[in-house]
Amino acid sequence: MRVLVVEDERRLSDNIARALRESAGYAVDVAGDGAQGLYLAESSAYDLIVLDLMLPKLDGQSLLVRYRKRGHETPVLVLSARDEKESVVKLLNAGADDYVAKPFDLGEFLARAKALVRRGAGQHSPVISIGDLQLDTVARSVRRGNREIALAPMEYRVLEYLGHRPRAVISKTELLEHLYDYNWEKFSNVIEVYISGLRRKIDDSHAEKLIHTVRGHGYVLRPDR
Amino acid sequence: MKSFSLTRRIIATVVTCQFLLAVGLILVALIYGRSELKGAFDTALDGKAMSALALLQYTEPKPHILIFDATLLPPPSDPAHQDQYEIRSSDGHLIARSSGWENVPPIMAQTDRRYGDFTLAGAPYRAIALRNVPVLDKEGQEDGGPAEQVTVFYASSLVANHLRLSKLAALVGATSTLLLLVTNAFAVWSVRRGLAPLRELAAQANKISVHNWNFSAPPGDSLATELSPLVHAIEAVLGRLRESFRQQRDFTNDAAHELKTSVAIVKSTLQSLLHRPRTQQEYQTELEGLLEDCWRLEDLLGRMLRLARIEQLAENGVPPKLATTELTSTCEAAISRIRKVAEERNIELEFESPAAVYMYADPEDLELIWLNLLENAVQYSPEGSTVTLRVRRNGGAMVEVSVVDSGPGIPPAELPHIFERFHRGDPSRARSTGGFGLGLAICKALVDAYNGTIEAINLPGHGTQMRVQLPAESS
Repeated sequence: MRVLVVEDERRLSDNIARALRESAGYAVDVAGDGAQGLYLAESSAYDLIVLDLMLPKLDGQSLLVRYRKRGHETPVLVLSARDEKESVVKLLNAGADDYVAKPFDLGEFLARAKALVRRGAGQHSPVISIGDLQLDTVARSVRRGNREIALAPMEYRVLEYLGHRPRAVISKTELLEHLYDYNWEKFSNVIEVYISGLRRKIDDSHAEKLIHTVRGHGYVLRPDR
Repeated sequence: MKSFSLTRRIIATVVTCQFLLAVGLILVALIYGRSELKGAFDTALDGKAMSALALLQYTEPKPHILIFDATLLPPPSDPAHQDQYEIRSSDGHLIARSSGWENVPPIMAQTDRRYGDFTLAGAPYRAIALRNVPVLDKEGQEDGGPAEQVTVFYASSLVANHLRLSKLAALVGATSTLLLLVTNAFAVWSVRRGLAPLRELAAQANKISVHNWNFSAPPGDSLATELSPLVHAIEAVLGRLRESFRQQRDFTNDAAHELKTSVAIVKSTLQSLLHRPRTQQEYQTELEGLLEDCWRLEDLLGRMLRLARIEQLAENGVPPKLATTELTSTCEAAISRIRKVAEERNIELEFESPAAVYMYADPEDLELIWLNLLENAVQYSPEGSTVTLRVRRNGGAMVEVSVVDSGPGIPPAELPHIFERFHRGDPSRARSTGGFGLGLAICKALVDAYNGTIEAINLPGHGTQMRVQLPAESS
């Protein structure tokens, strides 16, 4: 999962980015002003955009309106110091998906961010089940049957991304785009490594395979038919 | 202020005018009526005397003696006050007289008098005298010599006449009173109705509140011309109030934004630190950051409070501890305070000043203005450039202080806003240099408090000149 944080306050964006990386395992890009934010939001694939309202160059609300007008559907979580009812209503009507008022609680912020990422992928339960595989996105734990599976952080992130869109074929590029920040091209060869690691830990001891390769297209997570 | 009712005033004026008018009309009508009635009475009296004369006859045959046949007199119109008469021959011999004449006072004794007034048995009478009138109708004049001359006194009661006059007075009085009542009622109604737009205006004005700034004057056709200055005044006041409310609200919002953001930084940093064990190095760095955040918060609070204090001073018009202050020394003090920051950025500070300039001011306030301007200039100037503080007497009673930098200048679109509180041309840049957008607002508030002016001028090519003009003591 990859998140864009548009926030001009460096210390705040650092904290948010760190929390998203450490507690949710997301890849995070930071934009320091509205114009850069809009550019990044439109040119890269994100699973969530965290947007401050008071921004230099282009304010958050205008960014949001333009972004939505151009048909982008990525969930947007707005951060602002203004929590009057009317401005919340205005923001939600402008296309925001959720709202956190400053000074916010980091835990609440993370929970809202995760929920938006989940819903953006069409998942509602925080625990995703594929066959007898259970992916707990809150505890970031994986079970197959009764067995707890320990995954490396990157392996978990690959599995989580696949799990958010079960039965969908996901290309290597899409995986790269959503698992790394803007430097993702450097990592182009590592996906196979993580996939084979996941296969070994999840599928090896089971007759039913869950991770499949669709040659020339990508990977898919689904119960074996 | 003693309040009064406009309606009552207008109505009172109208009623008084109408009352005076009615009284005048009644007086004129009575005077005219009285003289008309008197004329008619006199004519009638004359006629009656003439007819009494006609009743004189000569006895037949000779000698012809004048006799008066009272039986032929017309019956009295008012039996209570009968007409009185006396007829004498020219030699004074009494020919005839009515029964009541002996009680008549001898007012007609003067020979030149034609009319006379007297009172008989309590009733007013008017008498006429026809003196030395020849009695015609003497048969066989030719042998009887010339006609005899007689004097006829005839008096009629004025009672009926007075009655008529009082009837006229009653009629005119009643008519006037009735008209007065009707027109006054109309005046009251019309004045009330005429003042209705005023009440409507008041009702509209009454709807104005902090939550509802809409003031819709009653539509043009129902608005009196006299009220339009009032409407314009209300609209103008409302506009100014609204603007100052908006500024106040913006200030509160901006202040809340700044404070909440600062708190959000501290809170998220602490929560992030507590989320999992960190290395000693991480703790050290983060704690140093937090300390810096606290300084920033302290600075922000200090500036906000200072701004509030200065604005209050300007509002109350009470300048702070005023004394004659030497201006150039405050400039030097400000320069020495900014020197360290300037040196860090390798910026040279220049000071151009004439001889001492004196003005009535608090030296701390002046120093604060120069310090804020210099801070801005140093922040926005490229490294290695020069910032100049220049003091100049420009002839009159003003002293001009300019801070000139060679920074990128101010975008023209921002020029009108740079003195607004919390305005930041480029927030990220200002924040990275520690500004809140309050420095220039503080300068403006201070300069305003001292009845001076401050403006920003983009210099051709590169750089900005911040120019302050303050009233100085004549040198």
